[in-house]
Amino acid sequence: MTEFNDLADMIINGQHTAAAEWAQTALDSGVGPAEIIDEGMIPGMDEIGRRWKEGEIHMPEVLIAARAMKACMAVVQPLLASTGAVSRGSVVIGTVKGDLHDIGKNLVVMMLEGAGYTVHDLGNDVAPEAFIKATEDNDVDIVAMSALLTTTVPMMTATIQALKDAELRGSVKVVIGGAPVSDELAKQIGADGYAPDGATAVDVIASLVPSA
Amino acid sequence: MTISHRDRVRKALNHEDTDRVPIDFGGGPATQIHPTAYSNLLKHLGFPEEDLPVSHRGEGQVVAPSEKILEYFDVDVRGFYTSTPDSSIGQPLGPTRYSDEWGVEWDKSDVMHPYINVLGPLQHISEPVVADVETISWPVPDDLGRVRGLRARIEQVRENSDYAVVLNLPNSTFALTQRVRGFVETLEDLLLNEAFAEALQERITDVICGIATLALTEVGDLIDGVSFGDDMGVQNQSYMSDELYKKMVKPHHRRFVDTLHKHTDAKVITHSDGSIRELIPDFIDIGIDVINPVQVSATGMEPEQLNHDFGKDLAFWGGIDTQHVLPFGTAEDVVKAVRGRRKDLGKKGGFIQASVHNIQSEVPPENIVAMFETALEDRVYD
Repeated sequence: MTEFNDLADMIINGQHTAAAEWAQTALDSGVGPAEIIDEGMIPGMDEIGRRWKEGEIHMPEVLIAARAMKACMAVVQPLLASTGAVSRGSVVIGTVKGDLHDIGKNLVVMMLEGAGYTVHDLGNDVAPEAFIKATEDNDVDIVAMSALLTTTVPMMTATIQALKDAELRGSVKVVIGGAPVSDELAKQIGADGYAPDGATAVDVIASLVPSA
Repeated sequence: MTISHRDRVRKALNHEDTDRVPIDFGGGPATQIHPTAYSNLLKHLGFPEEDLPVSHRGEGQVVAPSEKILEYFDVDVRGFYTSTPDSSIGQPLGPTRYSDEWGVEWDKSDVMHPYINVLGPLQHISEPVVADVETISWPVPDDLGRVRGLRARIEQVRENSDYAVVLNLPNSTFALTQRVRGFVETLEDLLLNEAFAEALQERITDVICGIATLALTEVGDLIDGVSFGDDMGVQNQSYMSDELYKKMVKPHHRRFVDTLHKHTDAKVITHSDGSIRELIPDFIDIGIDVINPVQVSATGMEPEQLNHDFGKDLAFWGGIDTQHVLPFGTAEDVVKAVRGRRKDLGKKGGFIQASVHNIQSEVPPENIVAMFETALEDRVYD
């Protein structure tokens, strides 16, 4: 029997080399890539998300777990297309125009990838038009926006308006996050969800994406 | 009997009662104001426009208020800085981009926005080894350009006024490590590459101890506080566990704070944004006297609880929220916040009031005025 728990533990402990080797050995012995992701990688990152949300661990532990998850993904991903594995959903994400702060946004990206989502990361200083284009070009479920500067928060409203103008608002859910942002603000500007941290972002997005 | 501004600050920092809570505006790099908000404030007060620089280098897009404004609000503190060294390798790299003396590149998306560090000189190495630390060009700590004219500038304030004086030193070990090496890379190194993380922090601490020694030998006898910044928290937790901090970063902080105490009798003030409650006992242990900015909107930073738990050993500098109250609240909300802080942090001294961070561009002048005027009220309003 394949011990997927071993892989989950390697990810939780941030052992990127061991995790990638484990994945390669599993593939070589005939285990499917989707199974490695679903049974080993995602449970590992789920546990990291839980511990982070509970305050049991801090960013360094989260980052090395995400690094191990990525090392595994690099081994597994080339084989995914041929087996037609299903993504849990597709997310376009970026820090809004005017804001170059992307540490929080990058943590959200890592947690979403670790949870099995397809993530289109547009980076920072992302104009409303760029969010629109990425939404049009991909089959997107979620548009996720981040801001750190209080000054750039209005750009979230502008991006939501741009989605409406492009007649895309009905087909996507909008989620916001970042230090000056709140649940109250999300409601006020017409977003569908708010998350105070990277781990919660995964929960919020899961609740908004219809399960496949 | 009136008390001098300097005595008011010194008493408060010594946890003694004063006639009113001392206030700071622009005395440090994180208690300043965005040029747009400043210009609106001048207009609101009926003061003539001041000649503001369009673009500032440095971390924030901010200006220090003019002496006229400081006097108007009866601000108790005056801040001073070391200068750029003659030997700096920093240079402009584009319309908004530049590098500093550490070789760190800074950029911003708009001329009126704050700069952030975007690239460090050791960031590109995927598995660095200890020897990589010496492959980059390091700042010269005892470069006299750093302190040229500093003593004369402080002496002038000492001779012509009674304000408290704070010397603001450049950032400390951890902030500089993450700039030179990259934020994510640094946090990963702490767990995956201890030898390199240790060597890099040691090298950086060598430089900043050298800078501090030079500056304090020059002006250590003139100042009331010496301040350094080292952000150790995000909104809901510290950057790292207390265990990891103790093992990897605290020894460097201790060495730096020891250097400060060795060269001045002034209080040691540290600036760290975010939720840092977990690390405060360590800060007290290494000899930090004051924490700024007390980010009251962050997890675990409830002022009353902080004062209850640590107020005996630590004074607080800051406390007026810049994430919600100042930009988005009403003037009444600001008044409430100021009175609240006076009660929960300033009851028996131990509190200097300031905005938690630089006042951002959209903060209404009414809120700024409310923050300072409420602070100036007599305690009878409590």
